Order: sequence, then structure tokens, then C-alpha cells
Amino acid sequence: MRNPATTTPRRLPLWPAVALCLSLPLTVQTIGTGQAWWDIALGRFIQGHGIPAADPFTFLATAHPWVAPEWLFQVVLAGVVHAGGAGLASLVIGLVASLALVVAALAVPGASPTGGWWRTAAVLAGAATASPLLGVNGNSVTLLGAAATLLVVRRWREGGSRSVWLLPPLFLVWANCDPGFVAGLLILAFTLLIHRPARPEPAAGGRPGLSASLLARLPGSPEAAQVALIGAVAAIAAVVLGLVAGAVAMVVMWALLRPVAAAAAAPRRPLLIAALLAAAATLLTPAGPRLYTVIAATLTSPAISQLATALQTPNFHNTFPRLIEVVAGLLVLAWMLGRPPRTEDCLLATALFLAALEASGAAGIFAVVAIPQLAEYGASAWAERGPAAIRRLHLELRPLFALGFAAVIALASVLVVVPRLSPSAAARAERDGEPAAAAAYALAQFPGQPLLTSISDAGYLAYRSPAGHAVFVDESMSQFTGGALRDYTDITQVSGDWRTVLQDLGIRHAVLVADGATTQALIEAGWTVNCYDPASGRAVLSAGSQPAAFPPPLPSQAPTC
Amino acid sequence: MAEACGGRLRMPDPVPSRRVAILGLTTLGCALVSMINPNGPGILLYAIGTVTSPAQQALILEWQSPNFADWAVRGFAVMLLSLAAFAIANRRMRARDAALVVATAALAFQSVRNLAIFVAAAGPVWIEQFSVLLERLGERRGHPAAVAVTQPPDGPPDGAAAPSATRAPGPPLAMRLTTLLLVAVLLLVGYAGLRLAPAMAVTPTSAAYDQAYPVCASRWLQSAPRDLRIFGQYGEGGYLAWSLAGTGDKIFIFGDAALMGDSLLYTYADVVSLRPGWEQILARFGTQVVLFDTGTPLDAVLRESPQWVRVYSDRYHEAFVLRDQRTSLNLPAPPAASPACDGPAPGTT
Repeated sequence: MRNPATTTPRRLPLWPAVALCLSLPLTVQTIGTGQAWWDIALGRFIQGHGIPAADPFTFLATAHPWVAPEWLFQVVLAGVVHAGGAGLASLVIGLVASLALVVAALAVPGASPTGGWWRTAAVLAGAATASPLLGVNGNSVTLLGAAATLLVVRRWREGGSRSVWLLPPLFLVWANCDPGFVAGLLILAFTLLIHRPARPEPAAGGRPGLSASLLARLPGSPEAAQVALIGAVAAIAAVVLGLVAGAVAMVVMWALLRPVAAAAAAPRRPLLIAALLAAAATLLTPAGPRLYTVIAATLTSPAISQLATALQTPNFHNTFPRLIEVVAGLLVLAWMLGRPPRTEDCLLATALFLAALEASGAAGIFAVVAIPQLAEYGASAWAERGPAAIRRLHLELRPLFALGFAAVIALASVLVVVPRLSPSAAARAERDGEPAAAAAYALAQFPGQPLLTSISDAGYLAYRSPAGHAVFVDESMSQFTGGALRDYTDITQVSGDWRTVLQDLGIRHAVLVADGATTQALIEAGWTVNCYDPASGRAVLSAGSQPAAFPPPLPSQAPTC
Repeated sequence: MAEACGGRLRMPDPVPSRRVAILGLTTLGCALVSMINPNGPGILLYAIGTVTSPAQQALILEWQSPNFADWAVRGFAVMLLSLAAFAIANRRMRARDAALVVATAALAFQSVRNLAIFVAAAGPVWIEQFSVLLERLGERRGHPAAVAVTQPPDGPPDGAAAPSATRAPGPPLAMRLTTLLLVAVLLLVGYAGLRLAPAMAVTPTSAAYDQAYPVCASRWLQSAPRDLRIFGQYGEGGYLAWSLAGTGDKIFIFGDAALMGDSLLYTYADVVSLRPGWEQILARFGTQVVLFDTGTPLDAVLRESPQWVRVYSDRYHEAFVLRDQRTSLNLPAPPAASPACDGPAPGTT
């Protein structure tokens, strides 16, 4: 790694390899969520039967037609698991996520003298921030798509108009892999909105525009009035309608009142055409335009947002969500201390920070957008304000040492990651994290019968019983009516007419967390614990006809599954 | 520490190290003086224990991190981001101000209760940064771009009012102040008439409080035999203790988490969350009455349980006793439905 300012011969930079290796321990994760098992199960089903017309796993009659927004990702994932097991899937998806973070670091403007140290540090910060969302799921694909979109936008800003034609094929693949492609479309829309050709001044003798006339009547300078108006509208929208609405209001108002002049070398027309083609390419999925209906229903449904943690505020008591704060704080510090930031950079990062505060699932995109800015503005702030004594050290490695350093990093990364990829590690993660024994018992004893499970466990049960129609509400929540989701909430939170709902749905068996409220409520209602899975802490219960004993037996005292 | 870091980063308006030393000594003196109280130095540990208690952080609503789905909390995000925007635009903030904002913002993200500390600490910084921004924007008034918007080069167009490059003088200052005063008085009178006057008529035993506290249920309990052991909701324990004072009744827990201790908080959570053994806990503490909020899992399970029987019910609270203790407890009949406590008629199942 060398300081670019002192580099004379042009060499292939080592920092991408170092950053990739350093981020792998955070991005390569064993399969540990029901979503991953659900994806594998659906991928296998699609491989064998094609895309189904209805959810093949739930016993509920779904209200809306089946849409598989991630079908391509799921098919590929099932193929990878079939070829090399869960370990290979962890490695492939981890590599995709790490690649996304490195591509994001490449989106630093070419003219910026940002060294490899800064880019590597930014990649690490981004990896840590995004890591709770990563793992074997489609989020990694979305991060890669978002990073690639940022890179294309950067090249467009610098006059590289040809790169914009990569967008349509990118979005074609992305839209068939993960609904997160909408974030990419929003980045493009933001870029087109905020960059406008400089508006010509009113001609001599001509009338000033309406907004100019109105602003001239407000106290203070027109610039102050514009900023105050933008701030007021965004603040009101944020408080009344939500932080995402506030972010949208801020961007739209800014684009209307204070658009950023696009560089002469960056004509908007090619980007506009490419963005329109990319948007059209997203319609080329098995679901067609219905895909947007599903995404809108998912994002706006109060019932789904109550159940999906990705749509809820991050819990800042945990360590990783606090990194959202840390990254945002570092960005503000770098913007303050370094060279003045570009308006569009501030707006995009602020909008995504607001989105991440309202829905923790947006933290990954925020991390991707923050990486190039942390690197660029961080390097600038350090150059301007860093302690001179340290800056004078010129952290520069000779090529041989740099190669050796990179090799050591790679070796350390391999040593951390490889143990996670072994079949025994995958089996251990499945045994400890998923209701393996409980699912085996329930599926053997009650074949084809409806089972009450959590949404997360439903994914694993679907994986274990691919032709089952056995699970209740599953990962594909948008297909269910609000009524079905309310029923699920009533039962799992022991509220409302939960017992009547259970009876109406004909559910007589359950696989549940043994120390959960629902389990205790069912025991109180006369259900019996058939067996207990000590590895995962789940219990298999069945409806009984006898009233519960007092005090009821502990689930952990039941026979082992 | 902030001054030391700010000095290294060449942030504006540094404080001489002598003054920092004086401030350090003063802080030490304040810490020593704060120990002159009946608890001695323990008062500092008490405060630290409250902040660092995992049980309180996990179980008590006001110690949980802010939920931005709640509109009341979003103002915090707006204030924080607007302050950051001002600071970025001004590119000038004292190190001590930055440290204060960062520390209190981190506390506010940690616990919704700390939002007030953030507002108190960051408010003056916000005002100062906003003022600086307004001044800077005002200084640009003569900037060619600004003039181009406010005043076309060749003067106002036909029929258009002259833009305000030079504004007409407003009303006299006395008239402005009088108008402002009148508007303020009108708003105050309106607020007092609409909100304060009805609120002042409410007493702690008014049924208006029933949503937050078991007002009606405590009236019923006052007519019950003495010396009951009551399991109630954490946040309502203080009210029950106050309203049942003198009856000899004992409540399980009330809202002084530090006094209760983490162990009791976890025990309480085991019952409320229906963890295995929750009924054994109630039995171990000799609980005779469970008085809890309607719509909660505990209430739902007690309703369905054959072991428990509901003996009281209003709109927000229900009371249960063990079926085999119902007769021996000799509890009074539930009160007749009233407009104030118009819950459904209590069941006898």
C-alpha cells in the first residue's frame, strides 16, 4: 500500500485484496436464520417444479397471488448448497458481500487523493455496520447492486457516460434476485433529480420566477429562505409522516429549490435513458409489474412492519446497530473537518441514515453509501487537520513488505473463515440454532398436519418438509391478508381471541420456543409437551383434552426429542 | 479531554489549559460535595448502577432505545440532523460543544429517557449554530447570485412589484411588540381554558387516570379484607402502594428499579413474560391477587386458566385469584358498572 501522492510508477493497488480479506470474517456467516433455510427450500422447489402458483409451504389459503421476488437467488443458492453444502454457500455469499464493500470503496472520485489505508478502513467500518444484515440471504446481492450503481454514477459524474449502459443488465439480474433493487432505482432517481443543468438567470426585462419572487419577500437572503423552507418541510414530514418521508421531502425540496449543477462532462440524457431502461428491465421478472405491488405492500403494511425486524427501528442496546451511529458521526466529523462536502453526498447519506433509523434493514445500503464518503472525506480531514507529527511519518510500505503484509492478512482471514465452512460447523450451527430434533419429531409424528411455529422456524420446517403445506405464516408475508397476520400476532403474543383463532385454524400441534409466552399459554390451556429439544430450546406440543396440572410441568422436563 | 482532542484537530475557540485545569478541579470539588448526603459516596454508585443495570435497560420502557416509529421521538432525529447540517455548513464548532453533543446523542440513542438530557445539552449549541448560519447566509445577501434572484439587472419588470433589495420599513417596534404580546396572551388564555383548567380539576383518584393507573381497581381493593399480597404491573405499583396505604396490603413491585434490584426485576419479568415456572413464582411469594392490565399475555392466560378465576374487571384492569382461595379470601363483590369504571361485567368462570 502506498500513498498515491508519492506514487510514481502505476502499480495495481493492493488495498482491494487486503480490504476483501479483512472483511471476510464479518461477511462469511454460517446459515443461522429461517430466511436462509426458506430460500434453499424454495430454490429446490423451483428447480424441481418451476415457480409455483401458490405458496407451497403454508397451510393457509393465501389472499394474494404468489410472487417469488428472489427466485433467481434462491435457485442459485439451492444449486450451490447441492454442489458444496452449506459451507460453500456461506463462502460464496460472503464473497459477494465483501466484493460489494470493495466496489463501494472504488466509488471514491478519481481526482481524490484517497489512499488505500482510508479505503480499507472504510470497508471495515461498512462491513461491521452491515454485518447483522448479512449472512446467507439476498441482502448481499443488494449491497453489490447498490455499490455497482454508485460506481456507475461516480463514473458518470466524471464524464464516463459509457458506463451507464451497464445499468440495464445489472438491474435485470438484480430484480430477479432481490427486491432491494428498488434502492438502486432510488439512487438513480436521486442522482437525476438533484443534478440539473444550471438554470439561466432571468433575461433583462423579463419577469422573475414565481419562487424567486416569493423568496424575495421572505426575511433574510433568498438562500436562507430556501434552506429554511427545505428544513421546515422536511422536519414536518419527518415528524408527522415518518423519517423516510422526511428524507424524501428533503431530497425533493432540495432538488426543486437548490438543484446541483451537473458538470458539463456529465450529460443527464444518457443517464436518464439508461435509468429508464434499467427500470424497464426490472419488469422482466416472472411477476412482471406485480413485483412492485408486492414490494409496496410489504413496505407499507403495518402488520408486516410489526413482524419484520428489518422494518423496525434498530435496537441501540446492541453493539452492531450502534455502529450506524458511529459511522454517521464519523461522516459528520469528516464533512466538518475536511474539504467542503458535495451537496449530493450529504443529502444521499443523510436520507439513508434517516431510513436506517426507521427501518434497520436500510443499514446495509447506508453502509455502502458511507464507505466512499468516509474514505474520501476522512482522508481529506486527516490531511488538513491530522496531527502533523503522525502525518509526517508517511505510512508507506515497500512493495515487498506490502505483498507480505497482504499475504499475512489473507492468511489470518483464511484461518478465521475456513473453520466456519466445514460440514461439521454447518451441522453444529443447524443443530444449535434451528429446531432440528424438534422438527424431525413433529414431521414424523404429525405428517401433513398444520403446525404452529414462529415465522423464522417456519423457514426451517419448510426446508425439512418441502412438500408439506405444514407451516403457518412464513417468510413470504406479503401474500397473507392483514387478518392472517393479525391471527399470527394474536397467537404468538397471546392476545385477543388467541384460543378461538387456534381452534378455527385447526392447529393442534406446535413447535415453539420452550420458554416463550405462547408455550406457557398453551400448556395452561391444556396442551401437552410431547418432547423437548435441548440444543435449540424448542418444544413440540399437542392439544390435549385434559385440563393442565397445577403447577404445570416445565417443558424442559419432557422427554428429549 | 474534548479540549485536548480539539487542540490537536485545530478546532476553534480553544480554552487555555489553565482554565481546563480549574474546571477539572471544580468538577472534582462538585463530586466531593455531592457525597455530603445521607448515603455518602453511595449516591454516585446508585446513579451509575441505574445506568448500567442490564435488567433495567432491558425491561423498563424508559430505558429502552428510542423507537422512531413513534412520532414523539422523531423530533430528536430532526434536532440532531439539523444540528449536524448547521455544523457542516458553518464548518466551525468548539470541541467541547461537539463532545457534549456526541455524548448526549449517544445517551439518547441508548435510552429514550436521555432525550431530555440531549435537548438540554444540545439546545444552546443548536441555537448558536443556527445563528451563525443565519449570519453567514445574511452576509451573502450582496452576493451576485442572490441579487440576480431578488433583483433583475434592469430593475423591476412592468407590473411587477419591486423585489426587496431595499425593503420598505415595517410597522413601528412598539406596535410589533404589542401585537406579539396580545397574541401570546390570547394563546395562553386559550391553552389555560382548554387544557389547564380541566386538568386542574383532576385528582389522583379521578377515573380519568384509570388508563394509566388502577384507580377503579384500587377502590375495589380498599373495600377488600386487609393484608392482601398483590401482584401488579411494575409501573402501577407506586399508585397501588399510595392508594392502599393503611390497609396492610403488600404489593410485589413498584417503580423504583434500583431499590427493587435486578434479581426482583428478572423475577417479575419471568411472570409477566410467562416463562416456565411463572405460577411457582407467584406461589412462592404467597400472591393472593393478580391485578394486571387487560390485553397482556398474563391477563390472557389467567383468563383461560382453569386454576384462576377473575374476581374484578374494568376497562383497563382485571384481577384474578386462585380458584381454591376464592372463598377464603372473602373478597367483596365487584362494583356495579359505572360511567367512570364501565368495564364489562366481571365473569365468574
